[in-house]
Amino acid sequence: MSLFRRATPIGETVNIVVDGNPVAAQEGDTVATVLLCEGRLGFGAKEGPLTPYCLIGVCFGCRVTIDGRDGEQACLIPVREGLQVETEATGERS
Amino acid sequence: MSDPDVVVIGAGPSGLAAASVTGAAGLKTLVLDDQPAPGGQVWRAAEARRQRAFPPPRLAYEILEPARANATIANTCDVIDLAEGPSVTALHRRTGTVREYTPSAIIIATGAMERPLLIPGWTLPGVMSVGALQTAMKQSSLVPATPVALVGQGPLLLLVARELRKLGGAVGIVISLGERLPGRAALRHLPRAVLCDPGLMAQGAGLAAELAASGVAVVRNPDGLAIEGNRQAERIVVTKNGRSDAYPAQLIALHDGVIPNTQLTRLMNLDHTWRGEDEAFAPRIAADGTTEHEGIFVAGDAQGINGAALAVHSGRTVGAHVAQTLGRPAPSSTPARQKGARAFISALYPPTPVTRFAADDTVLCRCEGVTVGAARRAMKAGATGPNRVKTATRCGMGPCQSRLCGNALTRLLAHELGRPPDEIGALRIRPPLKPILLGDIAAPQLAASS
Repeated sequence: MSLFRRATPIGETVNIVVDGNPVAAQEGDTVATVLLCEGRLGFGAKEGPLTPYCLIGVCFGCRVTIDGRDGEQACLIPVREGLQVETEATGERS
Repeated sequence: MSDPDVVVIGAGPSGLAAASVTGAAGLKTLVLDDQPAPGGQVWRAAEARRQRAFPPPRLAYEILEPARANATIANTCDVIDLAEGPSVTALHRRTGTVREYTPSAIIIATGAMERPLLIPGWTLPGVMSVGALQTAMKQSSLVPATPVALVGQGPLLLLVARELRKLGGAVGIVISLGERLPGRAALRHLPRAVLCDPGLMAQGAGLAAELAASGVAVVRNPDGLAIEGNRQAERIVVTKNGRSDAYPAQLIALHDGVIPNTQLTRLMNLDHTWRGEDEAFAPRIAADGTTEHEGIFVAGDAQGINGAALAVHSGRTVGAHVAQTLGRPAPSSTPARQKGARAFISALYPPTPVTRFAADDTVLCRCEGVTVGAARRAMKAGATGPNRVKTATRCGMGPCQSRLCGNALTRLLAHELGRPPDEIGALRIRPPLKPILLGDIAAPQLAASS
């Protein structure tokens, strides 16, 4: 269950893919707000250790892989049609 | 675009105000901003929210529209280096290209960020900052689907409590760090605050009264706080007068005021001084934005926290000074309005000492999972400054590059060693300012050599 819900729609549907599953985002969303809306709070291996804290590009708690590029800050990237997000590949300390 | 005359870093109130002045003075002006759209945090998504419930104030559009008309605004663009000369290197994420600009002037307008509030369990999923809740609201009209616990203090917490209720989000409980009525230290500044900024004071009083009338449970001045849960937040435990109560909450938002974002000014090794009222470092800057580096200027809350209205003023002042420095006539700016209410607000919400709630096993550096106890052990072993603690523990060495933990680390050192923060100093900042791929840097060189 998501801890967030959308109070009002903000724009046209934008279809993205999260961990292989289709997700209907809205024009104006960032990848991070879509993930929050989808009930995704923890990213990285086994749903952790990352979680978004600031949503303004400071904390790096929302790093995910976007279109194959590792370590992207989900809160800074606007959604666009066909965007591919992987939440499990990022966040493991090497 | 060919090389700009002026590059402004940050598209918040001060950056936009500065850019519209330099642009209108005939200087080719480029604004670089890491967010998806201009407005900074306070006017986030202003253009998209024009038609939504609770759009930003009119001032946002009065600043944003001339900036759009007079300057080029590049969003989703990360500054990765800044150097004397001046020069700035940025990664444009929309095109995946890295570009170096060598303008005549660079204006740093990176604004403010929230001061982290260290509480045991604050790294659990379900815990975020109050500003993040507001960001989700502004960006995507998201509200909590479960009653949220608001924990901390400050004007933003009261404002977000109102906005959440208006948008239909439930506030379960407010845990306020101070008492209900201002103490003597704050009351001393009250008359001047009311006199100088009656509008702001009335707004603040209104917010406090609304919260009191809303029927939301408020717990004040706790002795201890801890967030608990298995894999994500489930409850917050409040200790007061020797008694502990657990309040169920899956969503917990923390706030303890805001501090200047000094990542760029520290990268430039500008002279910084500790501002007691902000409990944070800020660069020592003339009102016209001049720094010790020729061609590099600082505007707005990056100079020290004064709020959006004064940030606009600062941006205009700095923009005009830059234009005049580059030989263009620009309207000279009126002297800055008194910072009327700031002293009262600072005294009413004194920044929370790092050690008030944090225990030895509380995380200090989220990126590297370094605890307060690990930093203390490093200090006991002889680490006398932040950079030594970093070497010993990796505190501040993760992808956020100490943006979140740096301020807390300086304050923890000052507390543990009993020395003033100015002597303790801050973590050194080095490029790249954001993690980037080798290919990002190599691509322009490869293109140039082929």
